[in-house]
Amino acid sequence: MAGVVFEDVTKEYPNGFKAVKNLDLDIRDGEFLVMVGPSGCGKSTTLRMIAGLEEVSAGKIKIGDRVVNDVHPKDRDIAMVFQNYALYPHMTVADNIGFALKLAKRPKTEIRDRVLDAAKLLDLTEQLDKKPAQLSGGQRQRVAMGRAIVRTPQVFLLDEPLSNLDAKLRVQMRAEITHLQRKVGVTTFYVTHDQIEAMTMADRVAVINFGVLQQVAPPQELFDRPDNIFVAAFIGSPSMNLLEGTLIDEDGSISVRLSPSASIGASEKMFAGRDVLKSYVGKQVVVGLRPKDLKDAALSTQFPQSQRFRGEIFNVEALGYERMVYVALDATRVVPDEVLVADGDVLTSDEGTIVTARFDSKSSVKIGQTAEVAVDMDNAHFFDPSTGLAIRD
Amino acid sequence: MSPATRLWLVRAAWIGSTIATGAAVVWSAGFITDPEANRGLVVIAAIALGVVGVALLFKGMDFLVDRLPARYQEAVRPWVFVGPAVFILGIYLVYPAINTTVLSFKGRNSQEWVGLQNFTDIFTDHDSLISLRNSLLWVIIVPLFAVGIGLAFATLADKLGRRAEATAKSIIFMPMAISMVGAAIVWLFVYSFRPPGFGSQIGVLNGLWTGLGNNPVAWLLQEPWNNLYLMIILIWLETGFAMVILSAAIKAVPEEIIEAARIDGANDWQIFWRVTFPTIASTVVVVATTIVITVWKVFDIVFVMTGGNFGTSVVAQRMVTEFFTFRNAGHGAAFAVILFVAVIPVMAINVRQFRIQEERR
Repeated sequence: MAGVVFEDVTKEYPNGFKAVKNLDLDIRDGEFLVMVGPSGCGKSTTLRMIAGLEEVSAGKIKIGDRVVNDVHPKDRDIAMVFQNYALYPHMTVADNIGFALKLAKRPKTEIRDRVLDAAKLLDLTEQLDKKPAQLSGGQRQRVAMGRAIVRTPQVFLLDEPLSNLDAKLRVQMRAEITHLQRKVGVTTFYVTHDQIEAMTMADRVAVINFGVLQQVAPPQELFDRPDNIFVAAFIGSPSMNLLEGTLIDEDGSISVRLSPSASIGASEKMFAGRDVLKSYVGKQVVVGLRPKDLKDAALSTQFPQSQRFRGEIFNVEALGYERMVYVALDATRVVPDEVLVADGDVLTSDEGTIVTARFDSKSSVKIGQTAEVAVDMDNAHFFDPSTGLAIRD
Repeated sequence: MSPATRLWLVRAAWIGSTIATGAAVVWSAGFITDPEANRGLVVIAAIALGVVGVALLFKGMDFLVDRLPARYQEAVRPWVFVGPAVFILGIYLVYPAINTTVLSFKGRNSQEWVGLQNFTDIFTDHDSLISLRNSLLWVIIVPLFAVGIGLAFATLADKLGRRAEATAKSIIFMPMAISMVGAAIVWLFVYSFRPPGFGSQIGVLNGLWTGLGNNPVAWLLQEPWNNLYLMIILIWLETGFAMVILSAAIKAVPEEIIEAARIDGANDWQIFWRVTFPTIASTVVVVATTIVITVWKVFDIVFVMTGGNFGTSVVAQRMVTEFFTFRNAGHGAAFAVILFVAVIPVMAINVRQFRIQEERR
């Protein structure tokens, strides 16, 4: 087994389009790294460069200690799972799984044993004599996985392997793939546009956009400490509320003014780990508030009056274990141009911006009411509006 | 205007226009059979008559179907449209096929029954056996090379740039647009031969041959190789067809499968034979069988180039010769039956493969 290292890798197409720009990334040996980003961000190109299906325009890719820029795909000792599985339609499941071994001229008995082992691992023993057309989507997915693991490669490459499955099967396969990867321990590079897949499966997540790597971190850190506005907006569902604000100091008490009529007081812990935020007093900032940090003030009474605002309830989605509440707030939303978050459609109403809040299921707010919302400013995020970078030490 | 008056007017218009159209049809039918009439006008009248006639036929039959009891209407209606085609095919295809089969058991003037004598004649006559042998060679060699070369072109063209691929394919496909007689005449000039002293060699092949310092060769007299020279013409014609269809099939093979094979460790040769070819195999069969059928029926090329002389006759050409040169309807019909029987299994394979292909889509 081996890790994969990108050293200043750039992919430029003949028409001048740069799909990947100066990528430095270190996938550790045995690690499950998920690269996530909106469509067209360069993540699939990155994967295809490891596979050898795309040439590297500049920089170096290493698998283990070997620079593989000019190595043929078959000599890279990698296995890949494609979005549409790419099973050979004329071969049986067994032949599909064993094809690589057959090409490598392994003895017949060895091929049979290894195919059988892989099939057992993936619960495919009953399907070995069937053709791909006779299998369900989930089974095809597993055959594609089988084809990859039977080779015991140095690196697994998975290109949006779950995007063709229905929602229920996707959740199931997510767990199966994660489990399988931990079991075989092969370095895995997984590409997806689905941040939930990234968060649930990865050891570390690499967020990429416009061919530029935004941040690489374990899932929780990515969620808690996004490096920039893009990562903040992209990771988390529903996505973070990003609002324009100004830090103001009124007689020693600092607050975030969102508009002439709305401001939220700072909390003590807000400056923990970011003393530099104090230097922004009097300046514009972008405030990021996770929906989980907007609470029903009627239930969360510990928050002082200064950290509350009142707004009309635009919509309530009761999910059983919680309530997704859309509240009007007199503020201006910040939408990074490049954020294409499917579930983050921008809602506005006459009363101002609609922010998303996750209330406890005990909350009794109703559509059309004006409710009081408490803001947990301890967990608020702050970004510099000119650079988009997180403000912290 | 009262509703009753309007109804009468509509009826009158209907009847009037029907009579007028009928009269026009009758008149034009007379006009186009008049040998004195202007040829150009006859063509126009014939086209108009055909189009209007067919329209009237369908309209009239549809009208009649509407008058049927409701429960029969929908069962009968499809036959209004399918019926004429079936009827015409019956007259021009099924009836002649049956009649030919009957004739093959009769004598040269179709008078008396001779049993299997015609077939016995064919399978014992030296010249007839040569034409059977030649046809078998044609059926093996032409499809093999046309499909083989077509497949090679299709595969290699796929690796060219878009422009170059389109250009190369158009050039290879172009012979398809030439009729067999036209092609044969083109190739007459390729193989053209003049004995020394009868002018310079205008044939391409002899031009090259003598240019290399050799004596001119009468290519079409070189038994048995002259058969091969004739086959080359049909291969030249059919390769384009094979290439276009196979190229489409190759392009339909998903790119991901090829990439998967590359990652699995296959080289270009292995990718072609183990992944691409099996995926397009059913198309290859359809193309090959279609060409086989064309080859069985080949007549024009042989007729134009050698007239079936010098050991180059084939079944279809032999059939025409028996019918029209030797005036032996029995032998001619027997050749036709042999041809018919030879094509049936190929046709069956073709239809079956086509169905399999359709199911995969």
